[in-house]
Amino acid sequence: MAGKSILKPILKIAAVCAALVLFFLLLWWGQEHWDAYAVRILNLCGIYIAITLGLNLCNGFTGQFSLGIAGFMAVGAYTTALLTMAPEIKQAVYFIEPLIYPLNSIQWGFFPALLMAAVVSGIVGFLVGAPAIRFRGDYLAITTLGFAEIIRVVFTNIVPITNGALGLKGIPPHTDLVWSWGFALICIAIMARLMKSSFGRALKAIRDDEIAAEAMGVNLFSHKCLAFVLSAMMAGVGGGLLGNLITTIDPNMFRFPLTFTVLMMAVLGGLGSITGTVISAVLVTVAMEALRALEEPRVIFGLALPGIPGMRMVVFSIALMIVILFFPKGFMGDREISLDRAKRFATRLCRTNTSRQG
Amino acid sequence: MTVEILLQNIANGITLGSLYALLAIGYTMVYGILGLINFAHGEIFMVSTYFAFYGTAVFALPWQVAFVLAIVLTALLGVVIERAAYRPLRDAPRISVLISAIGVSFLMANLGLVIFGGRPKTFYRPPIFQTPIELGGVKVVALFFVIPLLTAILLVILNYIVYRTKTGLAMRAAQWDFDTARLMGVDVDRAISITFAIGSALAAVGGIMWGLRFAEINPNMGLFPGLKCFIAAVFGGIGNISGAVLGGFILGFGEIMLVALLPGLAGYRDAFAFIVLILILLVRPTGLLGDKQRVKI
Amino acid sequence: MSKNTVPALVCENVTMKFGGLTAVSDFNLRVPEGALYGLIGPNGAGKTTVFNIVSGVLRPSAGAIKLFGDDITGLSPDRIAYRGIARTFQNIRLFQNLTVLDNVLVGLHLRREVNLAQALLALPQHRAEEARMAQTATQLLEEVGLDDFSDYRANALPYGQQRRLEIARALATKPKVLLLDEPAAGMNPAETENLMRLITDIREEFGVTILLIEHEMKVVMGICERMTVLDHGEIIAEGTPAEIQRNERVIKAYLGGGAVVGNKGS
Repeated sequence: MAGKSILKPILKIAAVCAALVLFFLLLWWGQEHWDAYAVRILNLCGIYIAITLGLNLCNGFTGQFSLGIAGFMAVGAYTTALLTMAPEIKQAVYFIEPLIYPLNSIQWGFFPALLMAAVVSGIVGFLVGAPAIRFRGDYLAITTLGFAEIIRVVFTNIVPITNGALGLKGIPPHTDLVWSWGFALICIAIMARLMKSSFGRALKAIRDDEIAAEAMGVNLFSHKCLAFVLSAMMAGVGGGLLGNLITTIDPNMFRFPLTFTVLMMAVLGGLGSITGTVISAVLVTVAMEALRALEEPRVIFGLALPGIPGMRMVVFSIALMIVILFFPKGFMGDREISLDRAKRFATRLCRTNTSRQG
Repeated sequence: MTVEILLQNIANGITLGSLYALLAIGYTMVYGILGLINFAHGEIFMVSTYFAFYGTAVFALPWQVAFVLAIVLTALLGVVIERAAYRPLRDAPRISVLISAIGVSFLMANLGLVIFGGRPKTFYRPPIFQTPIELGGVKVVALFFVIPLLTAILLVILNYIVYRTKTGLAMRAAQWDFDTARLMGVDVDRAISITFAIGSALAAVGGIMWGLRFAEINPNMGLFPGLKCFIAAVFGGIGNISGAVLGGFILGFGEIMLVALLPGLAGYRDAFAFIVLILILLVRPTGLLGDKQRVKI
Repeated sequence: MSKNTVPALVCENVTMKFGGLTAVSDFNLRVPEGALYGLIGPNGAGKTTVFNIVSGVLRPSAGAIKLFGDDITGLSPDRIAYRGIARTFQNIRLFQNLTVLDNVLVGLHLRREVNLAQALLALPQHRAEEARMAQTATQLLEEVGLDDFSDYRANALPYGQQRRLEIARALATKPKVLLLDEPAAGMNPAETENLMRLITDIREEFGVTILLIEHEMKVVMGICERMTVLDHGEIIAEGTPAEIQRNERVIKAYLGGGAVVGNKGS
């Protein structure tokens, strides 16, 4: 009996490890052998899972409706790009004003650069969050949107660091499936662990009733900051992965529509659901690419149809409106898909049946 | 800076301030009654300029008719948006309504892109507004007088409606508490519809004057001018109409003066409003003229 | 020795003004350790304001709050909870979307011993603590008779049980002083009976000092040893239930205020 109880968790861990190894081997192999376009979309899926989880942590689980995610992505993307670009390329890109020392002469590996992106965006997240979390609801939304906009404007104007509106080109394409999905899995694990812990419950308590949470001894400032900073870090690293995937970035990429896209993923999946977020981020990313066709001119049965710019976002806005009006909790609400849950559901079903009989 | 340029900048500040004020009123009225940032208000403003554009340029209506028609249509649009996207969520969490508002805003901006096209359109400017007028050695066009004057007249009318009519009383009652207002026989839904109609009509006036002033309109012009005007409303004290006007003027004036006096910071113009917002909320969250509100525990 | 002389909770000359309105003026209160103390008064007398001041939601315009002799005036609500004051709310404030069990677990969060990193890495300390917390929470739910509903959402509970859940959640913070804000509001007579028993049991079992706001005279008179009567923000009487019942000013305040004494909800 005792042997069995020790054996079981070991087996479980072994199984999880084996599955992970197989998964990453597949991704590693796929990076080389799958269609380049498919690989790119899969990369985007992984990145958006991470970023949307970050947004959901703040907006969904903690109830702090922030619209600053694009700003944190910008911080992460620029940090990673500036640290990984080769000095020669930097020299060529910064032709209006040269890049300041020491950024112009260093080149880091991808991993330390991403770590730095996490640190920098975390700090920025704290600087934005610490004053902003005093506001509630709509006010928090508009101040964080304002902060993101300020970040963008600053990035457009500090030419010696960011190269201004021209943006950065020639960022090394470090991001591959192992990186993007590796980070997605890390974020999923962090979220799942957090939500199963006392800290996660405290965050949800803040979402449901701030005043009661504070009266129960939950420190609002530190817990909201925790959500804000973690969220900013996920967005920042996600932004770094994105920059090193598409290899060019400029401040205008990180405007409100980007935040809107991520917000839409979170809302469709359900604010407050990890599994919902994962499914939704993948679906929306794929749909984004699929619907690109709507905006490109093409010929169908000999008929030349013009591309309609803006059509994709029309479709997505309508989808968002339908969900929020008719299924306000998204397709998962705050539920999760997990083995435990399925088991609990089954037992409850049995219990209600027996109690009805009795 | 010469006196001439200074006066020119003051004129610019007053006109931009008037435009911001007209838009800010819509935000403040809707926030007052629904507790919602009507993200779509900026797009309502944007669409109004296209209504006017199509009336004059495509249907070749006399400009007076086209402008009035545009205002009426915009008011209707505001009412329709409220019915379709906000009313069904009246009992839903506030965040859902906010998301819905963001959704409508995006839908309209992108529909605008699809229907009106992404390229900016040239707004028809009746010559009467371009009549040059000389004042104290400075030459300005009539429009610079028309905009603040019209804003002032509309404000007087609005104040009359809100504080002297039964409809206004209903709107103010609904601002306090829906249930109590209903018990007192106020048709809350109607009061909300009227609020949206008035706010949108004012946005349309602002939009048309925007077109007259800047001559170019595009589908993306809604979001950020819109948000800036919301900030103006917060600055003045949300829910307070005079506050919104004051906030609009300070913001419009401040923006022009920032660029005029500190040209080195011109690139930061778009961030200016948000910096003001954050400072205001930190120092005096109720704005300049707002009342203190407490949460009951 | 100090235990017997230092009262659990003291309010010293507490005054609260909102703009021009004085909600509470020169309020004094001494609740001895282990007492079951009542705070009564007609509607709008300022009782909940007193609770909001004691629990840190409001900062008094003047005066001091002392918990076992320590000045806690102006501390934030979470600090005060940590120091050992827990409360319930007049208009129930549960975490509506959390389960009944999770509601109580949130109350246990402030006495946690593991840090965030340990929790994220799921270290053994974290697992042990989670197990301990779950056990404590279940015991608390048993105490208030809600252990069968632990995986229900809080908003699925009927009103009376929501009030009990609030009490369990407050107890989870391991309070020295428990503030109950109209716990019997909206309950039927049978539920009220049960609640009275629950409150006295809690005091016995947890050794907690209880300060109770109640509108329902029957509850206060039935279980409190002493009470203070507030009217229009001022203390008009203080004493044992028997003394209060005979007090002219109290009778006048209640009857004069138009409130019906004793038979509300029955």
